[in-house]
Amino acid sequence: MRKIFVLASLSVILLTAGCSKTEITKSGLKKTDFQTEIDGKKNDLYVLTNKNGMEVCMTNFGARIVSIFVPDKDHVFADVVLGFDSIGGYQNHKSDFGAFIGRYGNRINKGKFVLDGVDYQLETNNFGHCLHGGPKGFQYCMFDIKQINDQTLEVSYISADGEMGFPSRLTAKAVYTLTDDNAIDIKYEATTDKPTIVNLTNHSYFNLSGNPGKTILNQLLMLNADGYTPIDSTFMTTGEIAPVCCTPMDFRKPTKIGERINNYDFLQLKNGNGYDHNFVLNTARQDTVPAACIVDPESGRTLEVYTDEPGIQVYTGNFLDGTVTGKKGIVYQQRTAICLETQHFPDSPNKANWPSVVLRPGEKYTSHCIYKFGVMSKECITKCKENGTVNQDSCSKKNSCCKDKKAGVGCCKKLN
Amino acid sequence: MKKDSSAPENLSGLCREDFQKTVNGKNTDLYFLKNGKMEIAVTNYGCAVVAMMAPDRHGDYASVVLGHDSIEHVIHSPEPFLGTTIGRYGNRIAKGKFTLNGKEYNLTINNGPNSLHGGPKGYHAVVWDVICFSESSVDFTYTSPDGEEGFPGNLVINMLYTLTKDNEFVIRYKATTDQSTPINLTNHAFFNLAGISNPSPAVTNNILTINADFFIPIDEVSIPTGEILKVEGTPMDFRTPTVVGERIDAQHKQTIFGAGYDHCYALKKSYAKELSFAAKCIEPLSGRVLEVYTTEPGIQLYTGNWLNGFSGAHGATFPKRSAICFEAQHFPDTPNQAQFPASILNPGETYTQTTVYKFGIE
Repeated sequence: MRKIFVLASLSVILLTAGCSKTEITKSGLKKTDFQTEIDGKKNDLYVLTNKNGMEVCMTNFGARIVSIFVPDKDHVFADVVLGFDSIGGYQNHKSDFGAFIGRYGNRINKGKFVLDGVDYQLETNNFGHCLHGGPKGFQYCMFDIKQINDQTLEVSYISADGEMGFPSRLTAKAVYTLTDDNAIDIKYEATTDKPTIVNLTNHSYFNLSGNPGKTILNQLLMLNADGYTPIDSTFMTTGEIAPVCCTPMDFRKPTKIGERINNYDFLQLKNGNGYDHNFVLNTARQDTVPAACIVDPESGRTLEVYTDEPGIQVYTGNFLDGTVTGKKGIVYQQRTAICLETQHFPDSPNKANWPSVVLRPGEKYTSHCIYKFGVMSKECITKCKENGTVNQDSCSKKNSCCKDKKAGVGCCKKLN
Repeated sequence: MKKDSSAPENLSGLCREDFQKTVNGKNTDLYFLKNGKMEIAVTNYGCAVVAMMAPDRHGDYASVVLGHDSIEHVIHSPEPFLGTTIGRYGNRIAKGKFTLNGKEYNLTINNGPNSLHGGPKGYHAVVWDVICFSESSVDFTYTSPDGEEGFPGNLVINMLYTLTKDNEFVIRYKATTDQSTPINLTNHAFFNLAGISNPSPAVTNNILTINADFFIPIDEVSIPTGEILKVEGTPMDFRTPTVVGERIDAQHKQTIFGAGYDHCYALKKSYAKELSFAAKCIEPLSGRVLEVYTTEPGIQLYTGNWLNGFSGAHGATFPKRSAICFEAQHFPDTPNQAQFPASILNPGETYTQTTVYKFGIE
């Protein structure tokens, strides 16, 4: 009797497992809702899983990350990115949710630049500027996706010479690996047949609470950045690298995102409508040092970002306005997500005083971004919040979010 | 009939014999560039420009660079960078340390806690080979061995000095390496457009324009803070013609840290490596004008704040602020500042740099 019961339960488990693998993902997405044809290419949903049960789903359209399903401190899983639960959502709403951004992430002033003495005019789409590759940037293009194994996808796209005004045929590729330490490791590569400019990134909208019905304003943010690049009222960088010290841009200690976000007396927050700024990282292009960290005190979920890029765009979902309904019927209100886009600085093609974004034939563009998820106890988070100097070992071996940062302490005092 | 170039008929009054010596087994010499309107004298020791004879608005000639009249004085100059080529890394590297491809390198320290201008035995203090020369150009080469002053890789440098018929002194640099290395080559001419004399007049009356909206602020040991700030509203603003001395001693953190001007400007360019206008300097009494163009992203303005009155060619003396330097370059300490344009040369790549110093009269 007992034997039969065990067998029966086993077969139920096996059946469900088989079913969820082909039909419904753990995050609740239906594969069939993504199976269609776009621009003559097959669109599908791809699933990555690791030994901890973490799951990441991606689709061909814009090589978008559709869902990231991660546990909280009590081992309760939830989807921590904004998006749609069918391909139609992505096609019908202009958005960058989860997308592979290219050929040039962020803005180029009036869509103009000069390369080797030749003038180029890109298509413009944002305050007269070219944003995220123009009106049909990579986020609206069909990528080829190759599933290497359960934990690895290779996505690729060939951008034609002249597409959106960019010179050269660019072959762009990225390998997404869901590692067993709950990190999404993204390795970008690109080659070109003529000189061009490149800046590739991912535009995931994170809300670590798992409930994008709530804002991210109570979550903590740490940025390993002494400087940032100020913007004008059209979000265009001015060319300066200004110190964060003594400003609401200072996140060198873990700080509540919402603490100073409405301080519009500080012109940069007014210009950005909140945070929408490139931070100049202290990481010296090393992808082993944390560039940024978010902590959700409620769920205990943490996200660390590592990159070999010199900058990171912090965008706090200021333009979300309740007009878009996403996964599970949730309406996305203002500041219900935060984006951490690893990158070269905005408008670098027009800023000879910043690191170059030029790619030439024979060279290979590479960029590395790691989104590493974890959890932290309440006590640890409180400690972090209080002094921002807790050594990682006293909290959690896995999180360096609260690591002491040499320049972060006492600097404001010194200047005043 | 050809005249002996060592004869004092040279406008500069310099003699070749005074520059001929063997240093570390290599011969030094003096070379003249002439175009009928200007004369430039250079030695292959550090490729120092020792004299630049340029006419004023009345046609009277004077040397417009600080220099010495013999190789001994060049070698033992109290200012070792006087008119020389600078490398492997022009300007400062904080604490003489940088990390490249995971390896930490330690350079020779020679300026407070920092490495300056490639170290005490940088390219200013070595004998270069002359490949060929004529009255219009001198072609130099130097191979900097792996490990020299702490820098990685054998760096092969080719540098061409040219005097054009339009009174342009053009410097073209090329370099290749067999290991990744930081590189930042420049020339450290100390200009005095009034003409050097005893004592050489201060440059504080010069009227200066710099084509830069931004500069690189420094700390108390002259290392960049990492910021790129607007010149607007500061004594650093030379976007419109301004008298050099007007704000040089301003109680502003930057002029205090630099003891005057000793700062890198981020030049306005429409694209990287564009050969574009960098600076213009007018000496109002003589009417001499210098314009600078470069492919480099930055230019270091130095107003001779540390000159101490030592003697140079033909009894001229060089007191504090008797020179102004325009060192075309990548930003200081770039090997430690990931947010600045990169200054790394890798095997298989060719480093190039062009700077033009154009002389005129107004």
